[in-house]
Amino acid sequence: MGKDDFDQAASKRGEKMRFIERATKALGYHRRAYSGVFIAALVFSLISIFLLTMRAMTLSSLNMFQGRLKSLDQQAATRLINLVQSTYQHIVSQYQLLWLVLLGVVFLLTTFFAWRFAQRRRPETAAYLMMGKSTGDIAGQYVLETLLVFTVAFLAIAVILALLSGVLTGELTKLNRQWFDHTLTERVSAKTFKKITTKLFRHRVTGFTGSELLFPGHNDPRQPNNGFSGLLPTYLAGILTVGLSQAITFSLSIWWAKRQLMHH
Amino acid sequence: MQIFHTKAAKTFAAQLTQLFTPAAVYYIYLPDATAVATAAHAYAQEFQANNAAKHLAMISLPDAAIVPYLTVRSNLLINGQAVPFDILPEAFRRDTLFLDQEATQITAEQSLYIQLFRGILAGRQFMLMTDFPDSMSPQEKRVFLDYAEEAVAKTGTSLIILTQDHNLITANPATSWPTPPVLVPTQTK
Repeated sequence: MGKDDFDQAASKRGEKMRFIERATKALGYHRRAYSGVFIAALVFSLISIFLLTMRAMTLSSLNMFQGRLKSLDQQAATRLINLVQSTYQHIVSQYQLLWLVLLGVVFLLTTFFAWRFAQRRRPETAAYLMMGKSTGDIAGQYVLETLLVFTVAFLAIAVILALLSGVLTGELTKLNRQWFDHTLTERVSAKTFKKITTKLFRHRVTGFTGSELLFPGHNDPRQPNNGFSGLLPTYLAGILTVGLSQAITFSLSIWWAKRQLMHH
Repeated sequence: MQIFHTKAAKTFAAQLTQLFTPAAVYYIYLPDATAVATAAHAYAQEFQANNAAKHLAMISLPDAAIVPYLTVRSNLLINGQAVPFDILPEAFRRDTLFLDQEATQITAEQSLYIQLFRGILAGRQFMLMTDFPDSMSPQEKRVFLDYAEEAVAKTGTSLIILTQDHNLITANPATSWPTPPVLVPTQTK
């Protein structure tokens, strides 16, 4: 390797370091905008983790319910079993749908705010363009800034949830159970329900009562169920949604600024 | 298409070499600020069109090309460092207070120096400058030009200044044009 190659490699490395420096310095310069991003990222992470945790809780309850059925006379209550199972599945798909809606909302909001932010950063963008920086280089820096803030917000939420996990998962379980009861009673009247369960438990000695059959895990010490789920999916989906939306918006906006700079 | 493209680019490079060799400070006279801006724009577009933007550094008036949240040093090095930092004049290099301050509060004159040395450090072969800010006195311009002449001689860069100052044209007959020279010779069919 000649000296020139070495110099070039050093220069490239220098440029990469400058790129990171640009992103971190810009965070400080636009700190008001990025405080907003930080709060939005906190809210998104929280809602997403709650939804995914409740979905996981519902799935595990469904599993345990199916396990407990084995000690009962299943012939006696096919209707009940089908009802409960379909209720669980309905709730799972509801959580999933809500989560996708959340991602969609995040995508749209990010696009809107990225567009406005890009307008505010016009002078800065022009400076980079004048230096001969490419659209990808500039957009990459802007996207990186948000992803850094998002990552910090996510880590903050992860730590807070780890500290409060006992209390919060208890509340989520309660909430989940209420939703289950609500959804189930929408499908079958309380009277019919009572009739079926009495029939099901007749002449049976089980370690659980009727409500524990339908919604296992809540009072069961063997199933502490007090962890949060969906942390990684939340982080990845957030990064992907925000990153994609911003990459498109910033690239378009910078491309437009470049065009105006070149042919005004 | 590709071949034609490179051929055009080669003609362009040859024309540039013919016009701006040896490496020095060149002056092109233009009657007013609008004409300066138009000519700078047209030249920059020619570089872009001929895939030569990577060889060109622009030096324009204040805040247009300085990133406010970076330090002066970072603004200098933002396009990489193809040439050792030692190439800068000692007074400039030693002024760490200035180099490490954020570029939010710099003057038009300082901006000019930063842009000049940025182009030099990045190893750009050509630099295109759109006149001096009005705030600069003839003495200050002279000092800037002395620094610029020294820097371009050391690095083989050509600095092209589009100016409304006719004195600069008459003072440098060998390296100046009374009207902008054509960068792309008209194509003969």
